[in-house]
Amino acid sequence: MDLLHAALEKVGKSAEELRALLGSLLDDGSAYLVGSLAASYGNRCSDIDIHIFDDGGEGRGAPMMYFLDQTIVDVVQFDRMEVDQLVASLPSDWVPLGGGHCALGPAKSRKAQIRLGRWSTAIPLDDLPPLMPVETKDAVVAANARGALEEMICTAAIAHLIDARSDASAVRGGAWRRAASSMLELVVRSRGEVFVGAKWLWAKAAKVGLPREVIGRIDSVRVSDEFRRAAAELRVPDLDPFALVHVKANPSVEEFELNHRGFMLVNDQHLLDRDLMTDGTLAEEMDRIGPSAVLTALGIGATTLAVDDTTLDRTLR
Amino acid sequence: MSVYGARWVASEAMEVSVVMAFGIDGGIEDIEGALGAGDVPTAFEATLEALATLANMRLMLNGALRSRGLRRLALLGATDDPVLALIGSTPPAIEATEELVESLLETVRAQSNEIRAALPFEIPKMRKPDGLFPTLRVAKELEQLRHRLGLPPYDWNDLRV
Repeated sequence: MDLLHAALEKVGKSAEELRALLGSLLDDGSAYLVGSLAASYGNRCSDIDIHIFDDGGEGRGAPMMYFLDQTIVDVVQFDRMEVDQLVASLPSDWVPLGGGHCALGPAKSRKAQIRLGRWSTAIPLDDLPPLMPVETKDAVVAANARGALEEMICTAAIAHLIDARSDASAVRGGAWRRAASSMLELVVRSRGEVFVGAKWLWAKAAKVGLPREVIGRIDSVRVSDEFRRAAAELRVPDLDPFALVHVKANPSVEEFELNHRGFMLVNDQHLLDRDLMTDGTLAEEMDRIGPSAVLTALGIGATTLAVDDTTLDRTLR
Repeated sequence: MSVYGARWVASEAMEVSVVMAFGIDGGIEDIEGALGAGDVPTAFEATLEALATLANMRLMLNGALRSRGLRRLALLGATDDPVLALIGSTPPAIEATEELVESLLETVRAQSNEIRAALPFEIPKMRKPDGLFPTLRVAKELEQLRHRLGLPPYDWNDLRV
C-alpha cells in the first residue's frame, strides 16, 4: 500500500473519494496531503489537510472547508513560489545538538516552522515529485530544531519567573514540566521529526527511538535542577535564560497619560503602568520590577521574549 | 431577561466563541480520536492542552488576550492558575491511564459548557457538516455588530497558518 492510501485509510477514506470531492480544484495545481496524516501520525478523527500549489499569486492561503462524510477536508491554495522562497531561506550552517543537529542564526517564524513541518512531509495526491527537494532534509531539520531551541530557552525563562513568584510547588512544577516538554520537542526535531504539533510529542519521541524510560524521566521534570539534568542526558547544552533572553516592548504599545500618571496602552485593551514596561535582559528586568510584573506584562502582550541570537550562536559553536 | 454589554459581546465574547469553535471542539475530537486509537499519551497531552485553553478562555471573558505557548504560560503563571498545578501534579503522559484521561475529558466538557452558558449566543458546531453555514451566519452577524459599534473587522487572518 502506498503512503497516500495508508494515510487516508486512518480516516477510512480513499484517494479516489478525495479526488472526486475536490473535482476541478485539482485541475490547475499540484495537490499534496499535508498535516498529521501525511507525517505518519493522525487517527480516525483527524482532518484531511490538502495544500494545492499553482501560479495564482502570493497572499492567498485562505482555508476552504469541505466534508467527506463527517471528515473535514481543509484545502488551502498557495503559489509555488512560496515553497521556493522557503527553500531559499533554509540555513546552511548547523551544529550537533540533542543527538541530531540545530541551525545557527535566528529561528524562523512559527508560521514558517509549521510550513516546513508540513511541506517536508507532504504526500502528493498524484504522480508528482516531493514538494520539497529531498536534499533539503538536513537544512529543514536544522531550521525547525533552531525554532524549538529558542522556544525551549524562552519557556525555561518563564519557568524561572514562575519559580521566583509562586509559593505553590505544583504550579512551579507545571511550568518546569512545560519547559521539559519543549526540550523534548527540540530533541525530536533535531533528530528528524520536524512536524510541528505538540500533541504528537510522545509519538514523535518514540519514533526517533528515545527509550520509554528516558521519555518518562523527561516528562517527570518538576524543578529546575531536574530540567538541567534532563538537558545533560539529552545532550542539550546548559543554556542560561537570564543571559540569553531579552524582554522587549511590543512595538504596538503606545504611551498614554491620565492626569500626570503614565501608562502604556496595550492592544487597545489594557493600560499598564509605564514603569512596568520592560526593555532589557531577563535578569535586569526581573531585578527591576520583579517576576510577577514581568509575567503580567508578557501575559497581556505588552512585552515579548527574544533570544539574543549572536550570544546563543557563540555558545553553540 | 439578560442584559449584555454590546462591546463585550462584539469583542470578548466573540473572541471566546472563535476559540471554542476552532480550539475546543477540535480539541475534544483530538482526545476522542486518540483514545479510540488506544493512544493514551496523545489523548492525555491533548487534554492538558484543552484545559489550558479553557483557562485562557475564562480570563478572556474578562479581557485577557487569546494566547497560547509562551504568552499563555506567562498569563497562567502570573495568577497561579489551577491548570498549571494540574499539569504539575499529573503523571508523565506515558504513564497516564485511560481512566485519568476520561475523567479529565469530562472536566473539559463541563468547563466548555460553563463558558458556552456565559455567552449570549449559541456557538454552532463548525466542525460538523450541518454546522458550517450556521457558523458563517453567526460570524457575519457579529461582524455587523462590530461595524455598528465602530470596532475594526475581526482579524480572521490571525487564525491562518
